[in-house]
Amino acid sequence: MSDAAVREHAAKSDAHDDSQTLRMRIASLEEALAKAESENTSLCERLATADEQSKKYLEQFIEAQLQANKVANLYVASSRLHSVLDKSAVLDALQDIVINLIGSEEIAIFETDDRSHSLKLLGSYGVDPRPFQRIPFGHGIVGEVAESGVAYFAQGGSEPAFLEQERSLTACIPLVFGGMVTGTIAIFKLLSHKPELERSDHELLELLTRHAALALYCAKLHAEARL
Amino acid sequence: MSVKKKILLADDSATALMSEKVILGQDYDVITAKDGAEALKLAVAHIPDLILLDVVMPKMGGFEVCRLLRGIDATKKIPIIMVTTRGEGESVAAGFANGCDDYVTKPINHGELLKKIQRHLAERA
Repeated sequence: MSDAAVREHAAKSDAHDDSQTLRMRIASLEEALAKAESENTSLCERLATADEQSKKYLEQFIEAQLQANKVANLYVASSRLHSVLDKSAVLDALQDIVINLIGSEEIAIFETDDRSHSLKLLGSYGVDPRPFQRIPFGHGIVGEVAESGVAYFAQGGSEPAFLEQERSLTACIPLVFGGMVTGTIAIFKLLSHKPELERSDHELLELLTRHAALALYCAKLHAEARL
Repeated sequence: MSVKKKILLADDSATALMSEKVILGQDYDVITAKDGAEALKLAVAHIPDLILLDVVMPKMGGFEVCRLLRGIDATKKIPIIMVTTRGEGESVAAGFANGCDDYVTKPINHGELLKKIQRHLAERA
């Protein structure tokens, strides 16, 4: 074999070896790639799960915060209402609760007068009291709430017939004690930055329905006892 | 043991004061004032880490208290958060013009208030 043929043979043999090595390297890289792809898929799945969990925890945190907010407000409201015995102090506490915890500076508080079958204005804040001095049961929304014992919440859209002075009424809740309606609280315009009543407000108003009535009843008993 | 930060709450509403105390009482030392004059006196006497000041108060309004506190060396850097029933730009701008650092509106959102307090205390540390 000539030198040239030997060199050519050697070169071919080297090339063959290189080719073998490269093939093995490619196979190894393909295997590594497949493994990496599989890990990537698994990581993506874990990331999606973690993302999902994180969203769930955030929702739970927000819900817990809302609940804490609500419970604190309910505690504050009931403490305030039951820490005083004088009727005017109960009314002040009620106004203070509506202003600071509900967010309205326009309210009117009524008590029922069964003899005249009407509501009598006990106190008001931020509204002209003149049209509200006496409201016959069933008259307008406030009178209707006193008669039916069912709370009213403005929904927008189709509303029951308003009296002129009830145009800005947001809510009217009955005060109920011993199964009897003893009065109502009318809440008119909310503060400008508060667009509507929230779920927690409804629960606070529900508490006021019972506890404000009880506080006013206790104040009445206390006043009678002092006579 | 870490010392609790001291917060002065000033509001003429017993409901608002109680509500703020419920939110903050566990994590902070809370002192309270029922009017602007008392708030000013307590702020100078106690040098709290942060002040929560109602805008409308008897004897002295929140803006006035804020302006006066900014003129006293010992209190001029205390973060002041105004508490207002008005969220309108005008009222908010008046608060900042008098030197307040931030504001929250009534009814107070507990989460928002805590977040703002933590942020201002951290900035001051």
